[in-house]
Amino acid sequence: MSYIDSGYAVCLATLALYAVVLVARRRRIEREAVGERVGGRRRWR
Amino acid sequence: MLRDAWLVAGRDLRIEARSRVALWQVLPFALLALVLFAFALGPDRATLASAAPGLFWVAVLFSGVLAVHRSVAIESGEGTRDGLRLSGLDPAGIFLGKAAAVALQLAALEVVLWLGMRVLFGVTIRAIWLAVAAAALATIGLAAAGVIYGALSGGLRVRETLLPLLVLPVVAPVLLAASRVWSAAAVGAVGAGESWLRILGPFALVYLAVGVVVYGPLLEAG
Amino acid sequence: MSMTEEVSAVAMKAMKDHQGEPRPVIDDELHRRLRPRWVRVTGVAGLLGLTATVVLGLWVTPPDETQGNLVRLVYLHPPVAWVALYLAFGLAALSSLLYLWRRTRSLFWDRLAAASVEVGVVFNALTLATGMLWGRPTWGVWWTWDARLTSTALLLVLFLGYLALRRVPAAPEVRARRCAVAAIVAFVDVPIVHFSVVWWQTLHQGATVLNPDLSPTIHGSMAWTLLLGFLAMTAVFVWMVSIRYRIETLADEAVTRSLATALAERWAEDEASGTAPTFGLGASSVPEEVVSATRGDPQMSVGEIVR
Repeated sequence: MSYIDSGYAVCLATLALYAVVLVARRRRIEREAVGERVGGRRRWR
Repeated sequence: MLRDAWLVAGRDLRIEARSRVALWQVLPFALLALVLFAFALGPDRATLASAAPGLFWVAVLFSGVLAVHRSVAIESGEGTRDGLRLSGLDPAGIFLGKAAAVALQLAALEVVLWLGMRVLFGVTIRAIWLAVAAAALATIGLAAAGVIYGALSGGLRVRETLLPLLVLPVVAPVLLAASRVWSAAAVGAVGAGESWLRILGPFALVYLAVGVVVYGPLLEAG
Repeated sequence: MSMTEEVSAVAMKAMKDHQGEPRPVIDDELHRRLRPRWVRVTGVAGLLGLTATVVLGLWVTPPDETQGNLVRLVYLHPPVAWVALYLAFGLAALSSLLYLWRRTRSLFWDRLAAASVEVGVVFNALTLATGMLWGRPTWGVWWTWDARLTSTALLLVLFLGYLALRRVPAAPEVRARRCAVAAIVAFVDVPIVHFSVVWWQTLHQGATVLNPDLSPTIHGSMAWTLLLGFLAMTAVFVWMVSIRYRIETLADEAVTRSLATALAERWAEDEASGTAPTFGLGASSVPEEVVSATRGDPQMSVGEIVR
């Protein structure tokens, strides 16, 4: 793997991982806040 | 404001003089650091002498963190912060007083540390006035930044671990600049050293100014 | 509204709800406000832009005359650095200032600063990582004590300190003020750090080979790819900060609410049993045999029983 590939890989993987963590954290805390009543995704559109 | 600063500085220094923690704990710690540096670098005097200015300021920095801890501890007793807040003293004055007390302690420590270095590492300084000017400015800057962060982390249980993490990166330019000036002063390169005073001076001024402005809100927040 | 007022307001509401159906404190209306459409649009734009940048950067654009294929890292590294060093920390400093200024004081700015610093720390670390991956083949070393590298690393440590300070539990207003001051004090340091490391570098080693500025004879598609990279990273940053802001807000509210419902339950219990509120010991913390011992004598205090 060249330096270029690893540069792109490191950068994109970190950003993706951080994005997933953020979304998961938001989902968990929203569930906590709203309860099961507004659990589905579609209701928030 | 200056009268208040005088009062607070006098109080802090008196407390320090009576408890003698700085004398019997902080100062020995700094001297111990010198010995440890020598162990780390080996007994070669030439190596030690060339590394001495940097090591000196590293030792001062760490001792400075300890001194700030001591300075914060004065206000960490039950209700002492409220007492200070209700005392009617100008917050800016309190800040300047506490910073002055820390700066004076550090200055005394630097003198002893320097003598230790002179003896143990065999360092000489050609341009004395340059070294003294740099030390004065650096000490003021260190004390000001330290006291601001001290107030910031004042009431916190995690102060011991948090304070170094907050203060040391901020005072990194002081370490850098002061070490360079002292290296220059050691060989008598006045011109190279003088330019670094242009970092140390503004740093001290900026943090004195910031402290004067934010110390009031910080006392409220604690 | 102060912390205590807020707590008691929510407690009152929770108490009223206590009789009927348990009602979520955050309803659909609030939810729509918390998750506006532009957030999703920005996220999708960032994702698409980033994908396009990667495709253009890795396959479409030609290799550079002097740097060869290594120039492809330039489509990534400067945009990431731009986000970390200017957008994120600039926004954090600005919102900290706005929090400290009395007329604009609002927890909104505090949470925005917190969100921005956290995202900024991620981008800052990525700036260092991509920079090192470019530096190794270009200069032959992973790290040089170059002015830019050094000040970027120091900035990372400064803002890690901010995040550490934020993790210390405190009332929202207290934490907000403390963190805002810390951010300002740290931010004032940035130009000083910058000048000192620049001088350190130039006075000591002479100029290094570092010249990250693009060569003036830049190929057309390269310039466009770089521009796209900047836009995409900015969109990603905005999306991340908005989500992080929401998490921060909801977390604060969750703390307030759990405190308030605990209080409301206590009041409801005390009202039911007809005793004055006792805040020392919760009913659940009193052992069963103690509870049975007090039955028939509600006036008897817990302290007496223990004795």
